[in-house]
Amino acid sequence: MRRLLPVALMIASLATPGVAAADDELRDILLDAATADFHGDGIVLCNWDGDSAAATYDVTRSGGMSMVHGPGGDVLVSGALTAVQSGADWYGLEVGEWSAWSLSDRYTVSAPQPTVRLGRPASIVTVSENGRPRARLIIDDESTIPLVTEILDGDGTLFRLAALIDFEPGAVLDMPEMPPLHSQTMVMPTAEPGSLPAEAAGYRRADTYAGPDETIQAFYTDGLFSFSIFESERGERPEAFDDATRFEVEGETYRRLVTPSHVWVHWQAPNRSYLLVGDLPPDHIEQVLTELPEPGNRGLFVRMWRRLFG
Amino acid sequence: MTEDSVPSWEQVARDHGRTIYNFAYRLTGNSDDAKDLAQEVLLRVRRGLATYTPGSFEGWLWRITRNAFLDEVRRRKRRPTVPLADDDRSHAGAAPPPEEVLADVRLSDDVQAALLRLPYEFREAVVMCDVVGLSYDEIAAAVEIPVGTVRSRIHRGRKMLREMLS
Amino acid sequence: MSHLGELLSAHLDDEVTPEERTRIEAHLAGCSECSRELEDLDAARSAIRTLPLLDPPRGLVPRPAARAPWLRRRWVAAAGAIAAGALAVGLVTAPGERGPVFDMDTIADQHTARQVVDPGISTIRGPLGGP
Repeated sequence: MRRLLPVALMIASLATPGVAAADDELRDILLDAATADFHGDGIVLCNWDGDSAAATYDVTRSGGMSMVHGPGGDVLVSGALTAVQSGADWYGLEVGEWSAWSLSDRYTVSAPQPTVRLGRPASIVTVSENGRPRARLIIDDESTIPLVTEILDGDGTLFRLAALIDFEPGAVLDMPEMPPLHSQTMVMPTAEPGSLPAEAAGYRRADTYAGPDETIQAFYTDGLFSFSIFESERGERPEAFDDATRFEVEGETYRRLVTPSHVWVHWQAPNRSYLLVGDLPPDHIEQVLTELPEPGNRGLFVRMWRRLFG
Repeated sequence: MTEDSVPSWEQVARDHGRTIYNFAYRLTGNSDDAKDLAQEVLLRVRRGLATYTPGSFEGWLWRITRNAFLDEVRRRKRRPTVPLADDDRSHAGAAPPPEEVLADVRLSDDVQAALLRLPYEFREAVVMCDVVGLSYDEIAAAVEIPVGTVRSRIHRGRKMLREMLS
Repeated sequence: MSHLGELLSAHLDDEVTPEERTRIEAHLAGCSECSRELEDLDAARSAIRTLPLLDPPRGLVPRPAARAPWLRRRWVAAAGAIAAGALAVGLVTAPGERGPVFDMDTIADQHTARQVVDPGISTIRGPLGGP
């Protein structure tokens, strides 16, 4: 993370002419929150129309490395290298190249209101999107770490809540080192975005990578939230979605899974399968889906075959 | 190799194939990937030789090598590298005593592992300087960045390596 | 923070101008901090320089393909005929769907790996993996 900060600031300062400037205050808040050292135990809850999930986790960030112990296992992050534990082994995934971070100008942040949280002086800030509240952060004054993060759906209801219930700012002395990796893969951006648009509902397609097993991964971000779309030749729906909630957007049906920190959406198109995973709120998801390739059955050819031969 | 002649592809492959392979190996840590990547690079070099005009051969060769390497990494299906332990064996020369081999391999493994933890642009600069043996100007020409950036990346890469290896 | 910084690495690689070299050597004579850093950098530099230069596996240098051009043209023409024949005859096998194409775990990892290089709401909570 130490390496990211100067580059991001440098590039962010070369703003595209003619584009409204992003909220500097919010940008600083996010940058500080991404780099400060701390240790915390927390809970995350997510709810989308009755589909909900919750988890506890603990996170340590120190000396440029982050370690998260969560329900999905342990994750270590050091710069652009992410290591995930599976069984006894650690696997590394390195992002070789990525486009610079920039914050959408649709977000603005309110003036901070003083408060106390976990016995510490803190500030409440509201992040608004085009004037309407989208997120609330309670930020520890001393360390700049958000102790509470609330994400709201478009109608103002709570979508996700993350709260630290035990918190200690500052570097940790006995931070473990990056363990030996069983394997390390590097991904570099590819030139083929497939049929995925360069922009969708205020999110820009920042990078496209070769995904696992012949999928393409397109990573979209608006600077605050992000998601990846994985596109593949049409294939079987993952088992995890067999009992998933079905929902409709503009008459098309999708399936969704809710986990504490991300939402997953799956759909089949005539010759492709799609999987969306991200932390964006439901109204954004719905807007994004309307701008992505539509669901649909396999081609006419197949329907005729089935009609003729059962 | 004289600067005013166009070398034959066989000559280039003979003289530089090993270095190109080591370039790919030190960047990826995996001998299968390195071999595939080096092969792709050599093919690209072969095609490029048809239009090469005599000049700075090293600069030309390593610009092609580096671009071919990155294009291949971008294009190929993502697949994990294999464990490091079995790969780092030198095939050259008489077999050294077992204790020495073991110590060498373990030390090399640590260094290779540290290399792989460097951000890609630092790793690339360090490998080009200390494995391939290019000058700062040659690296600048190959990567198409200013010499000052080369110097900075090498310096920061070495500092990170030192921290990781101490 | 060192006084000579990047110049130290460049000095080790002999990539400095004569004026810079004079300045560096003069500084090093009186600065133990920079002398120590020079040693550290030299150690890191040597660690890479002394890595064994490996022999590539056999078969790295590919032999030129030995196919006669006329053979290739015939194959292409024949393939075209087969394709046309298949359309005329109609369906022979039922089109099937491929097996599962998304591995949720590796997908979660790959999204996380990219997500965490940016600041944003998610880095505040930390990555938590897939379902």
